[in-house]
Amino acid sequence: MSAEVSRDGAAVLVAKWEPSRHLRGVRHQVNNLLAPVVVAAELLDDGSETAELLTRSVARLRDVSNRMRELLHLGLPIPRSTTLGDLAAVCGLVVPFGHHDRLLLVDPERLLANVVSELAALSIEHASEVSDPSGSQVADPSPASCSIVASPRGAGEALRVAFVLPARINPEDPDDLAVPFALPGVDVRLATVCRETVLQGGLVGYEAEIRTLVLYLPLI
Amino acid sequence: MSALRVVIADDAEILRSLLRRAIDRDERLDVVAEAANGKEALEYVSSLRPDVLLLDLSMPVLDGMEVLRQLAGSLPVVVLTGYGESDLGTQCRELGARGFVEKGVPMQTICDALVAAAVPA
Repeated sequence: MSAEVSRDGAAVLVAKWEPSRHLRGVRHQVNNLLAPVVVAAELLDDGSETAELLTRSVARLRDVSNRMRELLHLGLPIPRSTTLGDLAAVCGLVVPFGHHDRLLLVDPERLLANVVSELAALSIEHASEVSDPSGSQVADPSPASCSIVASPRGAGEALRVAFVLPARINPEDPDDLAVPFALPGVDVRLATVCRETVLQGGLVGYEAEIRTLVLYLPLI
Repeated sequence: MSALRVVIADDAEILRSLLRRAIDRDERLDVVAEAANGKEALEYVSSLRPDVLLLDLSMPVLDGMEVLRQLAGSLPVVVLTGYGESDLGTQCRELGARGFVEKGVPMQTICDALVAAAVPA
């Protein structure tokens, strides 16, 4: 599990999804974090502000742990055909973490290829409504497109995607790379290395390897 | 009744230290040693003859499951683990554990489990 900070400053915990075995491991770590905080909170039960903060921390961690247990008990069947159309099901894997954060568990082998290709298709529809730095809506003359070069065939393999970027996008800037796939309410980042490549039809584009798909879901 | 003598076995030093302080506040219990792994736990069990062992499962050198196997029910053991699955609890009980508590529960639950394990009804 890794922790990242989204652009609005909220902490986001990210974990690759490897069916239930991984969730057990993540939950184990959460419980290991929870245990000393619980004991410390009880030892410091003196009505002080520090004690109150510790007690609130316990409640947050315990909530995450309990939600994970519920998910484990559900068995979490993820069909191999899962697509973005099943995003509601995917969101079922989102664990509330405090008031502003979300933990999303993503199965790179089962979900990544379908989700990325669908997000790319959708991003084309939205590319003409990309915000410029001043915040106003501008038309983008060269919308992004994306195709899957190779899907993961085994554990640890990356999804390889090729895409054409709008001219204003710097492929070496991770923040810029988040833009072609930006959708309302979903921010997909390519935590990856890009390289120039010749795409089908002779277009010059970029190829990237995606090992982790991070969906930042805002609090609804 | 004198306090029940407890050995704590957990590789997390901070948690061990906090558990010791919290358990010692319960007048029914008295922590006599802290072990950082399963091997140390077995050594303390052999030399100190405690009434009950509070045992983590994931530990270096010798894990909690192996400690349970080696003790073979000769000492009351309460397993305290981050893994809360019921099948794991069943497995631990089959190996002789008298209690199975998930990390993160209130201290009262842990102390009651230790007493219940050491002094069966």
